[in-house]
Amino acid sequence: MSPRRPRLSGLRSNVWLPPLVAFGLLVLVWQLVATHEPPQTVATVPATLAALGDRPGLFWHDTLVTLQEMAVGLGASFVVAFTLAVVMVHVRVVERAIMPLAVVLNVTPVIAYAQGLVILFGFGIAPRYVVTGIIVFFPFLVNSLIGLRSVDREALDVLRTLDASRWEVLWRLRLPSSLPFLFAAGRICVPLAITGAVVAEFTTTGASAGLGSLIVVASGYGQVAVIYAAILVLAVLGLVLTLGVTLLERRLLSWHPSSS
Amino acid sequence: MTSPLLPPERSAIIGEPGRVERGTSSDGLVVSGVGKTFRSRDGATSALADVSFTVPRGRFFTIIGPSGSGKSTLLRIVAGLLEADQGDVVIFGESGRNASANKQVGFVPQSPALLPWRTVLENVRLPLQVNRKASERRDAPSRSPEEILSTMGLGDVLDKRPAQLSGGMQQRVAIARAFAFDPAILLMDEPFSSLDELTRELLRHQLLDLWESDHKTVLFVTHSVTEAVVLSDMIVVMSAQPGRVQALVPVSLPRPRGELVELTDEFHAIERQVRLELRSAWGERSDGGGS
Ligand SMILES: Nc1ncnc2c1ncn2[C@@H]1O[C@H](COP(=O)(O)OP(=O)(O)O)[C@@H](O)[C@H]1O
Ligand SMILES: [Mg+2]
Repeated sequence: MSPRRPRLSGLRSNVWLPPLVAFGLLVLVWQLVATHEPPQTVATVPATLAALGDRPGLFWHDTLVTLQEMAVGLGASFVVAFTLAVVMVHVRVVERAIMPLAVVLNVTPVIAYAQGLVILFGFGIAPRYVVTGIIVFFPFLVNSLIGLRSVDREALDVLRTLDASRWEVLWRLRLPSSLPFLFAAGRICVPLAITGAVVAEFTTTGASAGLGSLIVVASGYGQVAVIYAAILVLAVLGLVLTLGVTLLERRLLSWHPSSS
Repeated sequence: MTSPLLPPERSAIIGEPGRVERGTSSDGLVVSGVGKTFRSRDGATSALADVSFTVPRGRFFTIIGPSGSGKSTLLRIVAGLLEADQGDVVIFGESGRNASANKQVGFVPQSPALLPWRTVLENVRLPLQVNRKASERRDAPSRSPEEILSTMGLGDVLDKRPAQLSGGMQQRVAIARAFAFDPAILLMDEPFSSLDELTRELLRHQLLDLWESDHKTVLFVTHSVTEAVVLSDMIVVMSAQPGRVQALVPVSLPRPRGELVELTDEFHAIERQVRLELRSAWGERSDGGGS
C-alpha cells in the first residue's frame, strides 16, 4: 500500500546483466527438465516458440480477448472504487457501511465465487469482466481512500480559509495527493487482473477465446507446447502492462519525492 | 534579493508614519471574549478564556506566549477554521466565516504547505483559482503573483517546484501566496519557527519590506521576543492554561525598520518589557523563551 515506486534505471550493465543471467538460467533449467521428461508433460523451449510461430494469429486474437477483459474489469472497477472512496471521504457513514462488505469480498477466494458468477451471468464474457473487476476492487478502494485522505492538513487549512468548495478541494488537493497511491494500486492490480481474467476464462471455456481458455482447450487435446506458449504470452503481457504503468507514473509524478 | 539592511536615512527616527486611523469597530479585527475548551475522552483542555483585543486597520499585531497558550487555537478561530465556544470574532464588520467566504483572510500556516506538484508561481496563483465568485465581487489584486514573488527575492525560481527550494524559500512562497489575493487581513502562525536563525532574520525583514508597501492588517504568532518587537505595532502577551491576554505591549519604534533597529536602546527596553511580562505570565517555569 506504500506509494513508493520502483525506478527504471539507466542502461548500465550492472543493472541489466544480473536479471538477464538469472533469466537465462531459468530458461536453461526449463530446457533441461523438458528434454529429460516425456514430451507430453513439458514442452521444450524450441517447441514452445514453434507453437507460437505456427499460429501467431490465434495467440494474438486470444491475447486481445484477455486484454479486453482486463481493460473492462480494471477500468470499471477503478471507476466504481474511486467514486466510492470519494463518497466515503465525505460521508463517514458510507465508509462504515461498505468497508466490511469490501473486506468480505476481498477475503473470499475468487475461484470459489467465479463458478457461481458464471451460472448467474451465463457463459458469455460478462462473468469474466465481473471476476476481473472484483479481484482488483479492494486494492483500488483502499488505496483511493488512503490517497484521498493523505492530504497535507495545513494545505487543507489554507484552502478552507479561502472557502474553497468541496469540489475544488477534491480537484486541486485530494486528487493530486492521491496519485502516488493510485499508481501503487495500479502496479498491484495489473497482475491481479491477469489472474482474475484467466481464472474466469478457466470456468467459462467453450464460450469464447482468451489465453486462459486456450490453455484449457489445449490441455484437452494434449497440446503441451500451446499451453507453454500461452503462459509465455501471459507473462509478457503482465510485464508490458506493469512497465506501462511505471512509465506513465514517471511522466505524471515527476514532482513526487520517490521519483528523484 | 533586496538587502534588509536599510540606509541610515531610511531608518532614521521619523516618528509614526502618517496613517489615518478610522477608529470604528468595523474597521479592523475585533476579538471579543473568545473562549475555547477542547473536550476528549481523557477530559477537557481549556485552551482560551476571555480573550479580547482589537487590531485596527493597517496594524501589525503579534501574539507571543509559551507553547500551549492557545496561540494557534486563537488564530484558527479568527481564520474560521475552528468554532469558538464563547465570544466572537469580527473582521472588518463581518463574521470570520463570511470574511473567509469573501476571501478576506490570508492564512500562513506553520509549515509552508505548498502543493508539491505545482511550481512556485502556480502555488502562489492557487488562491486566485479557487472560490472565484468571491474574487469577482472585489477589485483585482493590485500586484501580480510575479511582482510579489520578485519582491520576496523569488523572481528566479518561478518555475521551480517546492522540493527544489530551501526551507526559507518555501516559507517565502507561502507568504507570497497569502499576499497574492490581497486579503484584508493576514494570519501567520509561527511561519519562521522551523528555519535557522539567520534565515529567520532575513525573512522577518523581507516580510517587513513586503508589508511596508501596503500596510495590511496582520495577526502574527511567534515565540521569539526579538521577532515580535522587530515586526509589531503591538504585542499581545498570552499566559497559558487557559490562554489569556496577559498584557498588551505597544511597540512605538519608527518605521520602516531596518536590521539596525535591533541595536537601539528603545528596542532593548521593549524586548525587556515583553520578557518580564512573559515571565510573570508563566512564573518560574522558563527564562522568557524565544531567541
Ligand atoms: N484539536 C485539539 N484537541 C484537543 N486539544 C487541543 C487541540 N488543539 C489544541 N489543543 C490544546 O489546546 C491548548 C492550546 O494549544 P495551541 O493553540 O496549539 O497552543 P500554541 O499554539 O500556543 O502552542 C494545548 O493544551 C493543546 O494541547
Ligand atoms: Mg501553535
